[in-house]
Amino acid sequence: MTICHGRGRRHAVLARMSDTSAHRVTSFENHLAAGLAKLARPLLDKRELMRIPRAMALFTLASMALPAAASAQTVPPQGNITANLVEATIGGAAIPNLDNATLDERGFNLSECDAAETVVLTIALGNLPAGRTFVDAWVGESGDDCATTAARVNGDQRQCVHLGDDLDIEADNEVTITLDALMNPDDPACGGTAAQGETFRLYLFATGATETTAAVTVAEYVYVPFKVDANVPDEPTPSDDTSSGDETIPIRWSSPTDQGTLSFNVYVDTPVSSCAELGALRAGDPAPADGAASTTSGTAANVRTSGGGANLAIGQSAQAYVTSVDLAGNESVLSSAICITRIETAGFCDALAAGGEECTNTCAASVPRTRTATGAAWFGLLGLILVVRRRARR
Amino acid sequence: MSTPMRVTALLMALGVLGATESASAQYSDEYRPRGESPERFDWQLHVGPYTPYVGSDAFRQIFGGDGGPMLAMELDTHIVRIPYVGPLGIGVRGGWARYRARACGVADGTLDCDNRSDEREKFVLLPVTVMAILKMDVLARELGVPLVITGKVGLDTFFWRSRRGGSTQGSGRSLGMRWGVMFALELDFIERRAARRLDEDWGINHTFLFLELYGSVFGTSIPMRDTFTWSAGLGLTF
Repeated sequence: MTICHGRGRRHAVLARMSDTSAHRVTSFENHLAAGLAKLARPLLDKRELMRIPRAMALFTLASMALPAAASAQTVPPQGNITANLVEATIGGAAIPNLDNATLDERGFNLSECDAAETVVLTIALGNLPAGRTFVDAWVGESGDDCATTAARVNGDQRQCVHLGDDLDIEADNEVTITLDALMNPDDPACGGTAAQGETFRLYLFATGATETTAAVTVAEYVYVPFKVDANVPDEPTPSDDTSSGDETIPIRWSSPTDQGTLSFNVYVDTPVSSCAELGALRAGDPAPADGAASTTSGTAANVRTSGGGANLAIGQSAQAYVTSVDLAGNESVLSSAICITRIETAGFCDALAAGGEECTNTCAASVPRTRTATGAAWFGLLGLILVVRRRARR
Repeated sequence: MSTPMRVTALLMALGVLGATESASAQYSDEYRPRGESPERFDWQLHVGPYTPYVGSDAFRQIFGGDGGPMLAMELDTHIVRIPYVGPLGIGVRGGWARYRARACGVADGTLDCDNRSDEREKFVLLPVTVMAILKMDVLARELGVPLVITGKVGLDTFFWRSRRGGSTQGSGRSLGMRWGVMFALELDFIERRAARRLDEDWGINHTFLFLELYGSVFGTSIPMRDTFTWSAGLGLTF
């Protein structure tokens, strides 16, 4: 074996030694190899390539496991009794978008806290111990485990709130719970300052005691988590003061930060003749009750200029406002105004039409002549493939 | 069945035909050096500019010189090998390009693209191409120079859609011819052992970087042609 000097030559010799297919290594390869080897190694080396899916898998596992681990630390053990929210009402009317699935996500909002009417929950219980005719209701904050005796002891050290009523188990194992005291605006539940609300747990004990302060077994209780968010989110900030368009007018805004998951309502005021004029609405006002022009989860919307949107004629303007809405349904005040103006616009199809070409939704580009040509071309290609295939078989 | 569905079905049928052919015919003239798996397919990922000319200035008026970019994938099958030249086969390429601009204003009934509105105009182009390919790999296989030149010629079908402010303004299909010349640099020489492992473990014979010069010509109806442009990207031979 010849010992060659120089990096490029050594590389070539190593390449020859490792390559059993007797492939010739040229001087061209020698020169490029040294420089590009480091750059291209990940592209060619399977071990290097495999780092990518490995890293992605680790990242995915970590991102799934960490939040689960964090939340697992704060969730107290659940009892054996089952509970399902059948109905949530305020003043006898059903609370919108609040059901068993959304009780700990949507929860109760500021208007429900402020309302003079009483909030009533109807809960269906299952797997009750035999012979129990009423349940004892307690409420704990997110850090309280009311299943422990320490949380229910009498006196100043009591962490959980006893709702006071011993609730009869009615037909179909349903109980009706009035959250009268809890939903009072002065109560801690509605006075929380956390921007995304606070989670509470409604504990129902079927122990036979009227105010259960003794230890309970896992078969004797259940808790129902629910959220109370009485904090109104901040209003969005429009990206531009003005916008224009014909059929639709795009508007954009930035979302307030640290307010949890938000959706946005767009309100369009009555038409005015110029952007200097204002309609009935003002920035900072509460959202109007007559409904939004559109609702979106993103930070942009296209306001339709007719058919239920702004109803603008060409040349007319209107002020548009955006509000933030959190999961509980709390809605911010109106953002600053965006003046939208309807003007006549033209796009690709209009430009084509100006040159005498058609451009319609009925696929005007495909005239019958074209279809015939297309069909003939495909058949020709198919024929060519068949001929080549026959030759290959020979 | 809609037209795009019919074309897609036909392309899939052609692809299966080609794949079956090359898989079943263990023909004697395929390139298969000792210890390496046979070369049957090329796969390429293309990125490059594409600005359609629609037979008038309509596109350029709205979108200016917007070049996309066009993203495309191509799968070539080797049907027969011409000695001392390289494989002859067919290829199928599908692409996507999106163009965006603010809609032009209108002054006195004519387009005024110097004064644009905030309304968005979007144009999407989906080309599907079936090509005959001649891959001249004699330099790489016989002389050790890692350069492969591939000639391509075939049929283009461009599906296009124009939207403004979220609603479709027009759509259509255009048929054309496609030509292309691809210059590929095979990367095996950089780390020959790693390249061999790639073949042994995954059946990938060669990886290559390429530059392709191509054009779409003779568009029917409203053409979507760009007679001379380029794309570059990464490819695999397997």
